[in-house]
Amino acid sequence: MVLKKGNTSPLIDRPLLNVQQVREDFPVLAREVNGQPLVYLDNAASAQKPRQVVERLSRYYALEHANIHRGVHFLSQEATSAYEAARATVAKFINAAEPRECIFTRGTTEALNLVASSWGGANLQAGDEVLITQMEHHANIVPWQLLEQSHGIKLVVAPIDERGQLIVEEWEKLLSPRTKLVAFCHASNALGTINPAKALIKKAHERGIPVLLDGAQSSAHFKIDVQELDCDWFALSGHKLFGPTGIGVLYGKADLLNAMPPYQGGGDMIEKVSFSGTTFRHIPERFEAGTPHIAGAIGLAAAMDYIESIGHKPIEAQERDLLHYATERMREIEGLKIYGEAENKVAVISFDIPGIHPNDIGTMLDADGIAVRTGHHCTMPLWERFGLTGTTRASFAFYNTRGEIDSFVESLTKIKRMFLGA
Amino acid sequence: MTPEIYQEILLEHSKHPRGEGLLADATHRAEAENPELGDAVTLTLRVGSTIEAVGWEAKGSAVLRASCSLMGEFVRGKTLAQAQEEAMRFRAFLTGTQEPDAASLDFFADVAALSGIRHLPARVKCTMLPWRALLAVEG
Repeated sequence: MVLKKGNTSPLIDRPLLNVQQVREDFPVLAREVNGQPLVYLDNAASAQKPRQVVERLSRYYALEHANIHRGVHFLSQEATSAYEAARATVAKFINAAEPRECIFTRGTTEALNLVASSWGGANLQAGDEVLITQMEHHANIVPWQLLEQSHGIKLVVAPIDERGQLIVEEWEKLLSPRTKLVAFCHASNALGTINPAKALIKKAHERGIPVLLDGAQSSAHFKIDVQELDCDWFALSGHKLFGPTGIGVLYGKADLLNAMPPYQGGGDMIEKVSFSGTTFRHIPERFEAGTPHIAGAIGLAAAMDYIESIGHKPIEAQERDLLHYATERMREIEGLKIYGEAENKVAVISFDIPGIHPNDIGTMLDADGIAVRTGHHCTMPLWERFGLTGTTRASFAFYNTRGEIDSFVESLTKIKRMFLGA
Repeated sequence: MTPEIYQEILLEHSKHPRGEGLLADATHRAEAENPELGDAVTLTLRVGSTIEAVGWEAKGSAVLRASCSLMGEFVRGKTLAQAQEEAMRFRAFLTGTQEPDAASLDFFADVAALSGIRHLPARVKCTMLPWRALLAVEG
């Protein structure tokens, strides 16, 4: 069915979410930018923060701060409890079997680098292959290229089709006896494509190959169950999940993590240090050298609690509605081409208007108070595939509205007229 | 400068650019690129006692094309050394935190139209690109 401007979607598509009420949790959404109400459509780059997260951070810094895991005093023990409780919240959020399987990192990038450096450094040799896909973020390309240089491994890239979907048969053909690791994004930041993770993981496991799943873009949009997926590692970023920047998580199966050598050396990760030899602690501490981002972990837990309080189902319903509505409305703009038309997508729309450079579109949208991302979105090889250097990307969160999409489409129409005439 | 006038100048120069196309009889040639933005400029000059002609090719945004066009107009008739000095002043102006004084605005004439983008670092990189090519020209 064709959607028209306004709330004319069928009943089944109606969000179960009180969007106006939810928006009040996000103070930034009431701001004006360039004299216009802010329309924030850059959620895939970083999501905004609800009061619940900001207030939790503020309370921690104002009243609860001390270093963790070392003091005998009250505050230190309280902070340690809060930090470890945050780990338990993360474990529950992604359904890890145990909290210790969740390592706090600076973000997805560090989580991926941790696996490449620690597991890859210890287990990969010259000639071994790591299989990724054409739609990976640079963070899931460059760490493997570093191993190509240091260890002589080979990075193998599985192709995607015109609609931006992984060609599963081709991917499967590239699994060989030399393939020692499979890594791919759960959802593409540039195209929105959701990869059939569970099926791919099963196929890799049938050949005894471990799988690293980049969950930076999936974890904010739908329920993650790492046991159901059966991935060996899963990486996510707090700031894309309505939590603080500088905090993320590497989930790994306990046995696998415990068999991995340390990533960084320092305090907290050791059992005993001596100049004649040092022994390392078990997980999770082994991979958390130095004073961690305590506030970040606590803030991330607050963000996850917030998401759970709204519920994954209403979030998914609202985002599905926004994606559907925005796609239909954008198709009204003649010449506009959407990149990423997978059947299964998160609410991300990359597009190009031939004749208008994405940076010009982004600048002009900004003049109307609309925030989008322009450029390569850290997926340069992906755009090579489509013969582009980049796109404009609108990415949505559950707090966005159809009204905002109307403003966005209206502004786009005006920009197109300005640059290309009627 | 209001955003509207800025947009008008920008659009005028990007739609009807001056000096687009490389010179067949160039005496100097230089290139510059912003690989991150996918922007690239090739600049050709015909230099006698002063810069007699400017020709360029650009891959990138309207801001970039307008900047190429404006720069070409601006440096024609100046010596290469003078033009490169202006390029350095223009860079300081674009990346500076101070608002331009009346003298600077006058000095940069049409080029000042792009001052609307001074506070957007990514756009500053676009605007600077032809000027970087100019600075790369070996005299």
